[in-house]
This record gives sequence, structure tokens and C-alpha cells, in this order.
Amino acid sequence: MTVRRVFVIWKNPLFYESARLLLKHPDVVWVGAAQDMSAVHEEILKLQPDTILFERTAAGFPADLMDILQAETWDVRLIGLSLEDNKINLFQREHQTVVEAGDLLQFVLG
Amino acid sequence: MNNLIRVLIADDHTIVRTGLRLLLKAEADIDVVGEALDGSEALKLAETYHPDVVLMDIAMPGMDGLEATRQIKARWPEIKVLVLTMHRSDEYFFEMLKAGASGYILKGAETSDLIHAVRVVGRGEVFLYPTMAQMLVKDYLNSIQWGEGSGTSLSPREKEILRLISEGSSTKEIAEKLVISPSTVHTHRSNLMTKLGLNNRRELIQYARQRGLIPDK
Repeated sequence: MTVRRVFVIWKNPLFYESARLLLKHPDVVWVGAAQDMSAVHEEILKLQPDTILFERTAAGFPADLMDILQAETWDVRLIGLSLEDNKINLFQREHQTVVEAGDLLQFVLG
Repeated sequence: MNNLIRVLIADDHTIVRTGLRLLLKAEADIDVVGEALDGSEALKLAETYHPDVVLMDIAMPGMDGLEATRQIKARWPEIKVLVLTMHRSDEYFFEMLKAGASGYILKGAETSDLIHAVRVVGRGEVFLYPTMAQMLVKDYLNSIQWGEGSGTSLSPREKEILRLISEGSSTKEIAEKLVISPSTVHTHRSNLMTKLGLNNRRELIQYARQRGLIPDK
């Protein structure tokens, strides 16, 4: 199984600790974590994690993460979680190469 | 272990519940005996396991944490309830205390504080998160200020009129400010004096000054 490199952005310590304990797995590498969203952009660009787990808050989707998602450099998956509900939000950037026109339909169909 | 604290977690958020279980189980003196998704299940598990502490969320589907706390305290007063919530509002805070909760901590707290709170409540003591303790003190001081500690309860309108009298407003001025008739002001003033056991306007002003409702001259 591919090892997933995870970066965690959190607000509440309980979120951070829960994530740390729940993600204890041989195929998960915790590459970094930060509490301050404004300070993580450069670090994430440098580390290029496969997955960014972020704590959803009332402030909504962090604009900086949208920039990262739109970056052309690497495939990354964003997972949003909150202490207030059981929703899990997934955002993914995935590069594919079109060989034939029919590939578009295949990509849509998954 | 003799001093093992047996904890039941009641929270509808799966990640929170599981994270809490893992967090608490790492402590040698704490054991998580059950997990409930709502208030009804918390009641059932409280009856089955009879925990020392129920770590209780407030907002849950079906029976919420407030009602579950009331029922648990009514049936098993020896079980302690520690509220763990996102809510900072004083309304929830005071309602949970009235329901019998022994502690109140926010989900935004440091996890070390959370573990400490479980131990404190498990020992039979009270734990209040600092911001909530401030709220309680403020409310207490407010009740003393308004003379409610001795069983006297003033209505919001009476408090307003007492403040205006203390500031030197005349009956006519108070009536104009509050858009009520002068006779209504008279009635409120009369009720104030009866409730507070005072005889005249001068004593009303003195009362207000002694309780810091108006500054000393």
C-alpha cells in the first residue's frame, strides 16, 4: 500500500490529538502540522503532502487551501473535518493525461 | 487500580468520541467503559456500567445532554457529569449546572486540561473551565449587586428604574425615557421600595450606591 504523507491544520487541541491518535498507521506519515493557517502555505508547498487534513470551522473553507488545490505542481487531497458535526469534506486535485477524446467521458464516469 | 476513574463518553460526533476514548485510555488511572451517541443511550449505558463520570456533550440528536444530565442525576446522584461542549453561551452553562453537572469544559481546551477535568470531577470536586468560572463569578456578583442573594428579585424594568432614579432622573424624565406614564413609574418605585424594604427616594439612591450601581460622589 502506498504511504500517504499527511499534513494537519487544526484549531482545537482535541482535533489535533484525535487526528494524531486516529491516524496512527504504518502507511500514514505525519509530515507536519500547524495551528495557524496563515503561516502554513509555504511549508505545504515545500513538503508537498499527499493529504492535507484540516479542521473545518465557522470561517468556512480556507482561501489558502484553495490556492494550494489549484496549484499545478502535485496531486493533493484535502480532507475537512469538524468537531461540530460528522460531515467529512473531500477535495481532490488529480492530474490525468488525455490520449483520446473518449478519455473525457471515462474521467467523468470515473 | 483502586482509584480508577470509569468514564462514559456521550457525544454524537464519531471523531470526537473515538479521539476522546483513545486519549483517555492512554491514562493509567482512567478507563472508558462505554460510548453513547445520544442522551437516551447515555442513560442506558449509565444504568449498565454505572460510571464515575459521564463526559457529556450538550447538542445531540434525540435526547440532548441537558435532559440526559437531569435524568442521570435524578436516578443516580453519585454519577458525576462533566460537560464537554463547543458552547460558550451562558444559557447552556447555567442550565447544565442547574441540571446537576459537576464540571464544564470546552472542546477548544487543551487536552491536558480535559484529562485534568476528568480527574477533578472523578474525585467528586467541581471543575469549571476558566472562562466559564468567570461567567459564574460575574453572575454571582451581579446577583449580590441587585440584592438577589437575599431572596429579593427585581424585574429588568425595576432595575432600570432604580438605575435612573439613582442617576437623579425625575419621575417625569423616567417616564419619558421609558415611554411609560408617570403613574407607572410611581408604581414601579413603590414596588421597589416594598421589595427592598426601603422608605423613600434617598434610601433607594443609597441602596444603589452601596451596591455600586452608581459611583460614589
